Amino acid sequence: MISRRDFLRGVSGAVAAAGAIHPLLTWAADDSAVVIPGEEGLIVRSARFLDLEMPPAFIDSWITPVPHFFVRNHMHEPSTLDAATWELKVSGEVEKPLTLNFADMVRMEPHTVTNTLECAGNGRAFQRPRVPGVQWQRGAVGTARFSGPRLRDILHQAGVKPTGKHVMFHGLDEVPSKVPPFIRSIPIEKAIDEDTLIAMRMNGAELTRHHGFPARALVPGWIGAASCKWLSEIKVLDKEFDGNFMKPGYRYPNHPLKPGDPLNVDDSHPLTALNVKSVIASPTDDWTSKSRTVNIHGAAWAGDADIVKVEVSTDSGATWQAAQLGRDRAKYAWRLWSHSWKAPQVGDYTILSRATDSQGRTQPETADWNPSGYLYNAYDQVKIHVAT
Amino acid sequence: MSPPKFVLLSFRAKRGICFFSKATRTADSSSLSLLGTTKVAAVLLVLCSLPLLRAQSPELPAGPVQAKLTTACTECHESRIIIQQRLSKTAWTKEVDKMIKWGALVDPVDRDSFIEYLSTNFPPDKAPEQMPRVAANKKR
Ligand code: HEC
Repeated sequence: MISRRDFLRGVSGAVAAAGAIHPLLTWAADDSAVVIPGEEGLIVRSARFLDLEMPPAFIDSWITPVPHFFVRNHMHEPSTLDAATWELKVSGEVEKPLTLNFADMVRMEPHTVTNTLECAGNGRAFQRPRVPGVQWQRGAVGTARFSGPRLRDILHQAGVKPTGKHVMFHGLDEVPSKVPPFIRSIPIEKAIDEDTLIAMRMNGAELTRHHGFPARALVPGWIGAASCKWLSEIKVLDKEFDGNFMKPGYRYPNHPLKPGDPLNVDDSHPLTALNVKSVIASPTDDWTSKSRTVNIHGAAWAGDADIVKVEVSTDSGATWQAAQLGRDRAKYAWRLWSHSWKAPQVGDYTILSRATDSQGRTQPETADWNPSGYLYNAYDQVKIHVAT
Repeated sequence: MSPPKFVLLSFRAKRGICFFSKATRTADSSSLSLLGTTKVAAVLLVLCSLPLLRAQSPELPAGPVQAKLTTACTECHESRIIIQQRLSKTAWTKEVDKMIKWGALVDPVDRDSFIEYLSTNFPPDKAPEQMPRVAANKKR
């Protein structure tokens, strides 16, 4: 981690400086709203496949209500989802392959994990040079209480053989034409972690269709893509799953790349845990404050590490003040934070936030660039005008 | 606890027409009750109403390959996935070739003009696309 900024400085100070502050992006005040039952107020990045982003102003509660929770689909949603006929097959490197139905799953002891789920591509729109993919800004993230049986209880029933090293998830999403299916795997150590679930409920209610009904993997602290929706198959493998969404998809360079350079897949690793990151929920970009006193607040998270500090700068990074961390906390969940600030005078201000975690990581001024824009975590930034 | 019924509608709103590609199914297909049918009809009405039509995928910009590209490139996903990108010609070339590999039906003679069209209309320095919102029940 030490090398990142030094690297960028060494390679190209100009590039680092240019990317330091992401450009002003404004939210659409759009009256041509799209009707999507069960969802509310989200930004439509795509209606088919469904990709919906939460506006940052919605981060006003520790738990994100399901209608505000971002949706990320890679393919068509299953056209039929029927709890009565749904089955989950467990196979591969196991002593006793299993087929579990909805009732079997409901009978198993449930466990609840409050988890901040973030798409690996969240913030991609701020990467320079620009990268292809869903152009998420701040809101491909949310926090919910997920519950369901532990994956390890299911694996225990099946009896993992000593050769079982990775666990593959496959869902019911419908794959068009020659598109590679959305299949990924996680290492066995994470699969048998006490907090890795096959979630069937979200915030106390059954999963909705867009969030993976009837069951999804929930791999806490890790990129959203690990938590496969509409789960129908769990397969224990002797090696990492080899397919598009493990390689070249969802991979991260082992060494920092020069912005614009291609990824060398043989010198990269699959993405796992999320980065340390904070976002400003309020004020929003371009906001005009009618008061000198501005309540700055947002959320910060760090995958499987804890947030230890969030700092706010109201002078473009010259000085930083510690924000107050919210009381609600859980191992894999974000911390809300807030900071009350009195503007010294009328004028334009750039407000920044940066988080530090229990592993000693601090959000950088410039995020590491990679060709798919994964794990973007530069300081968050909003520009506001104080009018009186 | 008996598994819940999950009525599912798969719809496509394309080019001003609202039609349904799949019939509705319930846990017990024989029990598509009157109530269920009424509900389905209500949902159908809502889905076909104005807001959805207004929010159809935007037309791709005019140009010599607009029609061909619309046919080839909005078969699997809508145009918003394309128009939100801001890419160099090199990056557009990679995207088009990836989509062809994944099954996009592009006549080989059209490949270069597709890339030309995309990199002219959606270049890195163009302002970001404004995306619509999902209708809100409450005012935020
Ligand atoms: C056979 C189905 C199919 C067709 C036809 C198709 N695409 Fe795609 N496209 C996909 C899938 C699947 C994804 C999403 C992959 C993901 O989310 O990981 C995608 C994503 C994209 C993206 C987002 C960036 C990315 O790579 O994920 C762009 C841009 C894109 N398509 C452009 C096009 C263009 C241009 C055409 C026409 C030449 C086209 N698509 C035709 C299946 C298709």
